[in-house]
Amino acid sequence: MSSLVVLLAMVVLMLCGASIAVSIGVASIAVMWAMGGSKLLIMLVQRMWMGGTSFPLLAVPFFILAGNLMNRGGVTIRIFDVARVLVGGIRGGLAHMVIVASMIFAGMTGSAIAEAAGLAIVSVNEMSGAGYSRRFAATLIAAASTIGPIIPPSIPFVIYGSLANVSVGRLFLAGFLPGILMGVFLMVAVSIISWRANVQRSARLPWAQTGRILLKGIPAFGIPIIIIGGILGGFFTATEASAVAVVYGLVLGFLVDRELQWADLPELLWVSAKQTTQVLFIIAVASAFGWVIVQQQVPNLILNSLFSLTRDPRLILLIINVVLLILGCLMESLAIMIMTLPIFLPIIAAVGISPDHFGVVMVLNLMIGLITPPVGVALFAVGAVAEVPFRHLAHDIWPYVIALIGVLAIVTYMPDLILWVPNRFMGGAQ
Amino acid sequence: MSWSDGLRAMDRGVAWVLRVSVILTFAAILVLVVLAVVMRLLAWVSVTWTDEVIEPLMAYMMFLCAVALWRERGHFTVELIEQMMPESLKRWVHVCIEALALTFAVVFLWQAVPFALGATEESPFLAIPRKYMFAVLPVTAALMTLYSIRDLVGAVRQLVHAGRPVTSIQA
Repeated sequence: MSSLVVLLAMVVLMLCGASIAVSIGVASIAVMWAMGGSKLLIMLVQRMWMGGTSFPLLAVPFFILAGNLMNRGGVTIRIFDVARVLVGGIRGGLAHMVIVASMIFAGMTGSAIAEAAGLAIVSVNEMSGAGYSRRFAATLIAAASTIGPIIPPSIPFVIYGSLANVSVGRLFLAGFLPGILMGVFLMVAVSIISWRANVQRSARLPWAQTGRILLKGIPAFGIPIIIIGGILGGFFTATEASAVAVVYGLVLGFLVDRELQWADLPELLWVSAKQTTQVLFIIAVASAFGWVIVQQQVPNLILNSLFSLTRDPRLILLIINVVLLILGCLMESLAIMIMTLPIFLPIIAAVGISPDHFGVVMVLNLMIGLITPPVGVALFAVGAVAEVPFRHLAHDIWPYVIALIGVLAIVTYMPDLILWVPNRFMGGAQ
Repeated sequence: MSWSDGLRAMDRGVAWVLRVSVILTFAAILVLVVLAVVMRLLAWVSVTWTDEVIEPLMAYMMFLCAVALWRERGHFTVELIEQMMPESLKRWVHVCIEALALTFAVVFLWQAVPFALGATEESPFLAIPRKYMFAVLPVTAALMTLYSIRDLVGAVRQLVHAGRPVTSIQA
């Protein structure tokens, strides 16, 4: 009971503006103190060290750095141009372009916020110049950015894999089909909106210009090929693949596009390190929190309560989805994953749900949480860049949320489809 | 130079050291991981010692950068309820939040010192003493404690001087 009070206090602290790390840390300290006085407090430091230095997590700074290198090096603009060639000529072409660009960009960076910011900078002005409202453009970019961490590489999959002891390579592959489904469902939503608003078709680009754009865009596709090919071919792990992606980004920026300067590097490293630490420090502190939760047998308590209601895996997944979607409206996605994973993992193991499948379900839930108000982090990020008030984005986002919940239903209840790619390329399920 | 100018100069110095340390450790980690991949793929040599160096470098990068974020209040926050509060209540909540942040930092420091000093083992290949690896923990905790004291003092002064013009909130 006391643990639940502390948990509640932690959530209130977070919502009142305390940093997520401090809220989790103070709650962990309170429960440790209640459990065994000052003797147990050493676990705070010990678990923080273990949580913050896990080797698979090294992929996080590298994927963030690779994304920042591409934004600075002009790769994002070229991806947008390639998307223009592919879908620019259909009704609502610029809007579809954002979704396709987002899917391509997703193959290069694993962060929804990096993707949202990168695409917003490139596309909002162009869309508003072509007659779309900034409000529509910004809402669409926020929705499309959720594809980023589903199509590999993915920072949330790296973190999930590290916390749940699941192969990150398998998770990456399991994200392929759901990511494509998200793109398709969002494009359907955009088509309906464009048809109702009677949006006109854009003019197709001349063939010569199309060829030049595709040629310039080809090197950008090297990053997903290196990452996925390298992991599948057994050349390197996901962590090593992320470092190789950085090297490739450096080669593109310095030697191919020549848009990067040596003087840019310290700032890029510094910004990427800060973005990384915002994530890793929470993981470090939450590692202590995870220990506390297990010691307090919270997962067992919740497991027994849940089993008194049902043992049907489909119903349990439905309950978990509802819980995650509600939490996603109120909290930051990473904090939700770290807080709930020690509770959910024993439950899914007990009812025979594959941790690979659950990883995709969970991350997709959390990505929907990025665009659901009142705490929609992607809405805040895009709104700030596009200079559109949050309340407008919060009002317009719902058709896209509904489309993504449709994808979530498929991902939740068709595990064989979702796991087909990893099973095909990496052998049977774990 | 007044004492507050001296503190500001020290703060800028700490910020510079943190920035340079983090950039260098990040670059070193990248070089080591790429070196391990290149050696394995091209020279067919497995370089195992790199893991032993990467672990402490990763810890140094993360914990020192955490101090930098702590200094500039850059850690993730949500602020959902806070935005709906009246100004007077907001100031009280700020004081409570800063006091809790200080509590966290103090407990972290209190436990990190014996944790680092008590480490006697060495890493298997390079024989790096673990206490040097763990040394970043008390350093991080001490700096976080100092910045938390600064922030708490600032929040209390804001509370006390509410409604009056404040010339300098941060020491």
